[in-house]
Formats: sequence, structure tokens, C-alpha cells
Amino acid sequence: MQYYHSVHLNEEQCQACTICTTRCPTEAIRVYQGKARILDERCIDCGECMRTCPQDAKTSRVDQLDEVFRYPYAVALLPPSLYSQIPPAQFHVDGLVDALAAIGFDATADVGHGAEHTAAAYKEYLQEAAARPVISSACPAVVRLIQVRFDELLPNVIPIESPMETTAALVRETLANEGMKPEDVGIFFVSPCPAKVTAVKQPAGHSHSNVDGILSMRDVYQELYPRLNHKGNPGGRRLFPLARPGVRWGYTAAQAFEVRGIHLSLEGLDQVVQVLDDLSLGKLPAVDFIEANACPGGCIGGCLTVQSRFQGQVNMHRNIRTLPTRSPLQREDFQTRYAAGFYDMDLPLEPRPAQPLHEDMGQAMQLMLRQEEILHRLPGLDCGACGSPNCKSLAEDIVRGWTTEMDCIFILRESVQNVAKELWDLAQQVPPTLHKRDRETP
Amino acid sequence: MTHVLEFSFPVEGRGFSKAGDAASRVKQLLKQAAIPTAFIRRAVVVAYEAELNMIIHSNGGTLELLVSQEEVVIRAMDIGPGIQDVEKAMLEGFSTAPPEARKLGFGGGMGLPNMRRSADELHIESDPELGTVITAVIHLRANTV
Repeated sequence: MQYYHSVHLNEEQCQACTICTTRCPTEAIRVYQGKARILDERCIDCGECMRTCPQDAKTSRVDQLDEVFRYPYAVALLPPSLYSQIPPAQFHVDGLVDALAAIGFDATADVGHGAEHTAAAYKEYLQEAAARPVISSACPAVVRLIQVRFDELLPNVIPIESPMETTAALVRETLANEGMKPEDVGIFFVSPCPAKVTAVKQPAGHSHSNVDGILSMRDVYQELYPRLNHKGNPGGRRLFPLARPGVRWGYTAAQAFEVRGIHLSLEGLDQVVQVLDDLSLGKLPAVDFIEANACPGGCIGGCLTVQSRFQGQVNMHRNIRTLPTRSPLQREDFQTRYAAGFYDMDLPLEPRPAQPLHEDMGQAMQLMLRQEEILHRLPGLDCGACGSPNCKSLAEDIVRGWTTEMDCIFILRESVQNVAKELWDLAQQVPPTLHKRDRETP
Repeated sequence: MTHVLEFSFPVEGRGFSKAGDAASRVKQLLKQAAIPTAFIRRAVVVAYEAELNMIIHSNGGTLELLVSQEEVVIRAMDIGPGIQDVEKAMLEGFSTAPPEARKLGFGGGMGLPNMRRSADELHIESDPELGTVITAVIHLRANTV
């Protein structure tokens, strides 16, 4: 299986400092031959390495803005987090749509609207779900983390499409009803994070994404900001009504606010990993719903945003107040869709567990014995200087044949010491013919 | 039965804050050893309950993980004080957990019953002088999934 990844390394900028290797939540990075390499089968595109790289050597693949003009009718999908980027003085809910029209979008659709559908679908699902706790599937980095590291928890992940996918499906439907040909419509998501890019390019839980392209929020914002408040902008078209409950999904805790029952709202992968660890041991049995966002602060803390997470929070608090409080979701329409499976993922989420040391159980066990032996010799300091995140994974990398013990600077030093000692011992040896002379020397 | 792999993890009596550390390690190791997921899940439940039992009831001990191609064995060996009535301890809801454990929400009386449900064999030897040895065996054969 070939895995698509949005996150990748800009080799020229990488200084091989090893900071990303130790911060990666799935231990997916190794420094090898002076560059940080990402292990495809382990990376979840969370963007943690983009956030922590001091050289900005990690970037995300995105589509270019010109892609938009390839479609006769281009639609911008706006995530709730976009509303946290615009300073309140420049924010006007219709002005934003007009500015996007000036960039070249024929229409805009709010993922916040789709999120209201998703919230209602979550509520229904929670009433019928057998497995507890139910884990939100809205954050694609968390879904991939579960596939890679916690596959035993996949039955707990809610099999409902993300707000982005649901919104895109609603856009397709609306425009088809207006008589537009599907191939004429291009739907572009303005993404706050690399995980959403991967969710579109290689979806989990469905065969094909309804989103045609992914733009970086930074790229769009550069074009957007100068056009805000501009009087000469053309009138833009907003496809769906917008209200506060959906836009709140840009923050943590919005989802948990929507569903009933005992819930946890997690933000940042440290929190998420801690709770998933607990869940896989059967801890936290009384919890009904877990909202889990890979980024601190929720989507507004995504690593493709422009504003800092905290500036984003402040902007969002202000901007959201200009929106209507009540959800425009029509109950009957929702119920018909829910019953018809409109919100459901169409494929099961597949496990992507870490590769065992060997496919054959017997051989894997032999390798583990070697791994334990090696681990015993390593210093246990987890310094990361070898390019692996810690001593445990260096031992694993050695038995996988990726590297050798000499990559450990402590083992290397020990070996140099041993060689030096041997050299010294050899230097003490005196050839028989020199014995006498040595003795006679005064 | 000789086991290819033998690991042991120290468990501290009353070490509530570390509950789950040994069981998490068991999970990681079994994944590396190419053990099928369904067996791992059961082994982890057994390991966690065994670990918790030692934390709640014992003065400390060792959790062992023994693996061969035929079976996974989880063995909890503690240094006392022993189980007074093993048959009673196997009943759901029966618990002798001390108040300090109950205050923290532990001691629901489900530990041993859960272990019996998840393991294919469960052996308990207990002696008030020597402590308790609980051995849980999971057979790695397709028909026991």
C-alpha cells in the first residue's frame, strides 16, 4: 500500500537537528545521512513536525490557487477556523464572501453549516451506538493516529463523514439540482492543516472525496486580506446559511457541547495519546463521547493558519458574535438524510498497525530477543543523537536492519576506548630482539 | 512449555499513578511479535487487571509476559499478603480492596472475573506467607479467537 502524505521535508533547509524525531507522536521520523526522513507507513500528517522544526524545513503539499480557474464554477469551502483569522475590525460576514468572489470563486459554502448536520448525526448515532465511548472522527489526524497506533479502538470511531465531506456533498447536490454538470463544479477546501489535505487526496472511510482541491489557508489569506472591506468587490454567493453553533467547531469543546452525555474534549496530540492509551486498557469506561483534536486549541491552532492560536481565539470570540445564534438546520430534511445514510462513511476504517518485526511470528520473536539484548547495551538516555527518537526505537531500527549500533555515540565511544586500550597493550609488547637493548638503555 | 520471549515488569503496591504502564508495554511487545490483534486485545485486558490487582492488594511484585508461538502467558507474582478465599475472589462484585483503593475508585470486584473471561486458562496459587501467583494463558490457535 502506497501512502499519500501532505507533510514532507524540504531537504535543503533540514539541519538534521533531531528535534522533529523526538516530538513526532508516532515516532515516524529518523535522521538518516544528515536529513530527516519520514516513514510513510507511520506518518499521520498531523503537522507536529512542521510546528516544531526550527528551520521550517517541513512543509505541506497543497494545490495552487490557479487550479481554481480550471473549473467553470469554483466553490470555496470555508472551515470555521477561517473565521478566527480575520481581525474583527476587518470582519464582515458578507464582505468575506465578496472578497472571495473577487479572488475568483463563484460561490462559497461554509463547513460550519455541514458541521450542524454532523452534530445532529452524532447525536443520533450516540443513541444507537453499542461501543462506548464514541470517538469523534472529525479530525483526520486523530483518525489516522487511531488507525496506526490504536487499531483496537477503531470500532469506537464514529462512522460519520467529517463536516468537510458532508458540506462538499451538499454543495454537489445543490448545484446538480440547479442543472450544473458535475465536471463543471470545482470544490476547494481552504485548509488550516496538512491532515485535511491527506484526507482529500487519500481518504479514509470513503472511496472518493467530494473535494476537488485543497488550498492552504495561508495562500488564500494573502489574497483575501487586501480584498476585505473593498467597496468595488463583486457580490459573492453563499450557498448555505451560517450560524454560531457550526462555526464553533473551529474551537475545541464545540462538538462535546452538541452531544448529550459524559464527554471529554481533548486538544493537542499529547492529550489525545494519553486518553487513547487509557481507553485501550479499558480505562474511562463511563465516558460517552470523546472529542479529539490533534491541534492545541482545535482547528484554529492548525499549522497552516496565519494567526497564532491565541490571536485566533480572540478574533473568533468577537467575529462569532455577528452571526445568528440559532442553527438553520431543518429537522425534517436532516432526518430524511440521516435515514438514507447521507452522512455515513461508505467504507470501514482499516487498521494500519505498525509492522511487526517480521511477518513470521517465530522470526519476529527471534528478532525481539536481539532487540532486547541491544536495548540492554544502550545507555537509556533517549538523547536522540543517533537519529532515532529514543533508545528503544534505535534497538528496533537496528534489528530491522536500518542502522547499526555504532550510530549510538556512547557505544561508539566505548568502542574507541576498547580499540585505544588494545593499541596501548600492543605498544607494551617488546620484540625479542629489542629486549636486551631496552634493558641496557640508561 | 518453553517460551521464546520472557519479559518482566516490576509493579509497586499502591502505585496507582503508574497503573497501566506494564500493560501498555505488553501491548507494544505483542504487536512487535506479530501476534494477531484479537489475541493482543485479550492479553492486554488480562495484563491490566493483573497489574491493577497487584497495585490494589499486594505489597508489590512482578508482572511477567511469556510468549511462544503457541501461547501468551501473563503471570503476576506478588510478595504477599495472599488471597484469603480464592473462590470468593472469583465472584463478580466481591472485593477486599482497602478503603484507600476504593477512595480512588478501584476495587469493583471485577478484576479476576474479567481475567477469567479473557484468558483460556487461569490458575491461582495463594499462600498467606509467600504471596500469590496468578497465571493466565491465552492459546494462539485460530479456534480460540
